Amino acid sequence: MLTDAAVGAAHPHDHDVAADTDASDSPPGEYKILEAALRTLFLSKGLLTATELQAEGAAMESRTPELGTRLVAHAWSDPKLFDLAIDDAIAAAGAIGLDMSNAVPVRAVANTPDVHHLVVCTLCSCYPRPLLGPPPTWYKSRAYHAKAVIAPRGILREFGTELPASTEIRAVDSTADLRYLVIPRRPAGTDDWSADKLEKLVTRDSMIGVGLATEPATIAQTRARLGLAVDGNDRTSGCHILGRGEEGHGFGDLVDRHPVLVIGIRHRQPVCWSV
Amino acid sequence: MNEGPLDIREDDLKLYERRADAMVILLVGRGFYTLDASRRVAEIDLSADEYDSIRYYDRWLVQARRLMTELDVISEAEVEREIVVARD
Repeated sequence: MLTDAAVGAAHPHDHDVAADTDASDSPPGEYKILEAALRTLFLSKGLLTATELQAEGAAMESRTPELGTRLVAHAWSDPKLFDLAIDDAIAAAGAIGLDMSNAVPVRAVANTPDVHHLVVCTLCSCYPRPLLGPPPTWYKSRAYHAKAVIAPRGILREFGTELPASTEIRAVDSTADLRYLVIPRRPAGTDDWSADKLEKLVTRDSMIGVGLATEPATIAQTRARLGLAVDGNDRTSGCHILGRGEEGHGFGDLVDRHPVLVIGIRHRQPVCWSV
Repeated sequence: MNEGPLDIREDDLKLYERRADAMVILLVGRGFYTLDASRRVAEIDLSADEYDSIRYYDRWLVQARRLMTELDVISEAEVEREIVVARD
C-alpha cells in the first residue's frame, strides 16, 4: 500500500524542453556528441529541417497516457466504441475527437475475469505511442521482453499486481505494424460514472497490462490520508490541484516552493508535481 | 532465462535522447530506413555485449549512423568530422 515516503515524493515536471538536462553531468557523453553531429549533417544536407525536428519533439511531448485513459473511459461507457477499439483503436480515438492519422495501427485487447493481457514487444520496443506517449524504460528492457512471455505472472507481481490463479495471463506481442492497448477491467461500483470520472481510474500501467485500473476506494483512501476532500477539485487521473494557502495536506514546504501543485496517482504511485 | 528483477524506476529522458527520438522517427517516417533494418544493425551488426552495454537511444544513434552511411546519404568521414566539431 501507499507509504509515507511515496506520498511525500515530489517529481517536478520539467516543461522546459530547451533546457540542457545534461548540464550537470561530466563532460558531454559520446552519444550526446554523436546526436549533435548527425543532426548537423542531416540538417546541412537538407534531409530534415529544424522546424520539423522541433515539431516532432513537440508532438512527442504532447502525447501522454491521458489520451489512452480517455479512450478507455469512453470505451467502457459505450459498447459500440468498445467494439471499434478492439478492431481499430486509432479509429476509435478519432471517433472521440483524438486525431491520430498516420499512426501505426493499434488494437485494443480487453481484460476479463478469465483472461488478463500483458503487452510486450519481444523484438524491440513497439508501443502505442500516440495513445500512451513514450514507453517507460523497463518496457524496453531485455528483462521485460524475456519475462513477459515466459513468466508474466512474475512480472505482474513485481508491479504489485496479483491475480487469481484461475485467470490466464496472456502476453500480446506488438510489432512494427501493429501495437496493442489493454482495456483494463472496469472497477465495480462505477455503473453511473461519467466518462470524465472514469478516466481517473485508468492508469498507464493498466493499459500496458502490468497493473489494474484503480479502485474508487483507493482514490478515496488516498485523499483521506492526505486530508483532502473525497470529491475534491479533480482533473483526470485522480489529481487534485492545490494552491498556496491550503493546509493540512502534508505537502507544506513543497507548496511554498511551487505555486501550484498537482497531486495524484501517476502511473502507479502518488506523486506531486508543479504546474 | 534469469534476467533478475525488473528495474521499474521511471526515467525522464535527457534532451539529447529526446532529440534522437525525434530525428529517428522523422528519418524512418521519410523512408530512409525501416524499423526492421534498424533491428538488423542492433541484433546482427552489434555484438551481444555491445547491445547490452549501450543505452536505448544511444543504440538508435548507432543505427542511424550505420544505416545512413550504408545508404551513402552521408559518409563516415563526414560523420567523424562533425563529431570533432561537436566536441568543441
